[in-house]
Amino acid sequence: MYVELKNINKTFGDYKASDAVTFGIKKGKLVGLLGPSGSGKTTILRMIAGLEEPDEGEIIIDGKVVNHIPASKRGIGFVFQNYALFRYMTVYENIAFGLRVQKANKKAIDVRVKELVALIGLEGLEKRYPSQLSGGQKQRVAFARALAPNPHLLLLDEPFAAIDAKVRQELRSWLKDMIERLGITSIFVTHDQEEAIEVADEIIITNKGRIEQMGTPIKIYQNPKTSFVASFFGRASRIENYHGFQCFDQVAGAKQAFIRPEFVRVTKKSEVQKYKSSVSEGIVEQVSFRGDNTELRIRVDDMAVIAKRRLEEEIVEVGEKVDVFLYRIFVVDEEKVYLLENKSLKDDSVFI
Amino acid sequence: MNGNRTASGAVKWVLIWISVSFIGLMLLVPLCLVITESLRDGWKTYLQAVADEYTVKAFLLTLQATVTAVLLNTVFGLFASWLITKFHFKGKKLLTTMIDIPVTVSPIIAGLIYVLTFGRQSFLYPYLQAAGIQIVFAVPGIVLATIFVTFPFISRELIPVLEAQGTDEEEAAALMGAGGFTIFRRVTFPHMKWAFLYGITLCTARAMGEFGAVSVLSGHLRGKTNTLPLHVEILYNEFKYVPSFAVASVLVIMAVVILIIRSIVEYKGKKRV
Repeated sequence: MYVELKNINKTFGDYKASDAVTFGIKKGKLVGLLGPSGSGKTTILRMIAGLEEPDEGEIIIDGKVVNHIPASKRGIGFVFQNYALFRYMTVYENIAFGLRVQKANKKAIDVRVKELVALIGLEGLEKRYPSQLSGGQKQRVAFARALAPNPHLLLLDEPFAAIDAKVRQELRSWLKDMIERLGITSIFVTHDQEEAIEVADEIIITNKGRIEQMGTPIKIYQNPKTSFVASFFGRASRIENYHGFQCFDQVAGAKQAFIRPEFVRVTKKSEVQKYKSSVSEGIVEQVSFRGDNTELRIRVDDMAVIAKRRLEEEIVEVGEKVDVFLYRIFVVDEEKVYLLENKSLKDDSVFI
Repeated sequence: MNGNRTASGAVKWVLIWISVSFIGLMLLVPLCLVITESLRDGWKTYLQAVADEYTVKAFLLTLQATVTAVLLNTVFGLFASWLITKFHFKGKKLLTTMIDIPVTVSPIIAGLIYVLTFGRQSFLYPYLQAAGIQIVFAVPGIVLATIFVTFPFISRELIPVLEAQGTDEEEAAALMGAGGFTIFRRVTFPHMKWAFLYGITLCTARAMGEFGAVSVLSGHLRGKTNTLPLHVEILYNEFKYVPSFAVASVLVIMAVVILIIRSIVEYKGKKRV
């Protein structure tokens, strides 16, 4: 493990920002800290950087406990949410700052800055001030500035939050490429699950100061371990009592379930439905066009389910009665998540 | 929409008229009168009054008090505003309020406070006497009074600027290994440069013109503890109108110079942002 947090606790007043936070990150990985705002993810990042001190627990970087090493001596690159570029310095001076502080010689600084300016593709803009740059350009400069002194660990606090949607998409893949190419261990904070899935090798999910789950995006997506993760990941609809749907096993003590849109198949009454005997009838409450699909909100008894239909399929209208079939659901109790398959899927061979 | 515009146009002109005539009546006319009165007996008398031994001494004393007060308040203002905006500690609000006290207290009271603290009736007096230090009715008293009165000018200019800036840039610099002084010099100071210069000009202008507190502490010893404003008063009380106006015009000229410097500073500051 390159970065390790052991049993970190941190409170601000009576707000518990970190509650027994423990995790480890391997060298060279790009890790996303994902959670809703106020879940303590930025606090974790700031503690690793040395901008906050944990009340309890150890932070270990490269085998050394760094709790008492000041931020300036940890050799960590940090990209701030709003970039925090030095407003009164040019792009060149911003990038050179870390090297000047280290008293590197002038030629070496010049070589390194030019190399980084080329890396971020901003040649010719070296003399500009941050106020003369676009959001995406500022972000690239912040990235180059953090990398200039050759840190072994790069921390990014909501690196895409302040950028408009179109540029954000572009920057995400740029940043991922860049970090992969440099092979630098990186941790970024985000509240956007799509971003975490797309960018990170591994995701750490935080909630209320605790670590809920850690793993590759695909593993977490398919196999949520806690009720929070099941609800947070994907656009899951929450069902208070899943017994209303047919053909699922009963889990003792658990009634609540989460249903992701991709678990649901909606068919019009006129369409063929293979598992006709296992469907529930619902009424379409809302139809929203989502670009590459339409999103439907369907009421089945007193439960609302979100589902999707492809554009090639016949249009469903508000108020229409439709058949709703669930392939699988996540059933949750206090501690665990159970993935239940629709029983009729197993009985396939028998029915046909 | 159109009617609304003409209405606001009329309002604009009325407001301009009111402001200009008020400024003219209250400010410009008296200032012009000072100059014309001082030149009533011709340039010769004017120059005589200005070059008078006591006037020159008063001028030098004013300069001395102003420079000392501005220097000390600059240092204090810089550190106080840095402390208040970049660190968290108990009693911060109290400190901020205390810095503002000199603005709210009448200068006469400020003078009296120092007379009570350092004068004959004070318990400190024997010690000061033994050390050979005289404060009341001497130059140190005048300097002290000037410092007191101009105390908050610089920090009050700096605090809002530094507060608006936040601490991110400083943190970024610290993470790259910069020490406290480097951070201040290269990151914090450029932000507050213009506000800082503006604060200094305000402080200077106020220090030069201070009358109340200085009047109490000076003792009006001509050639020794007389500043320019006090000198104007003495001359006036002696019915030497022309010399009194001449000396006053020197103060006016100094104020105008400061005002011009201030406008330049303000203009440059705006251009940068």
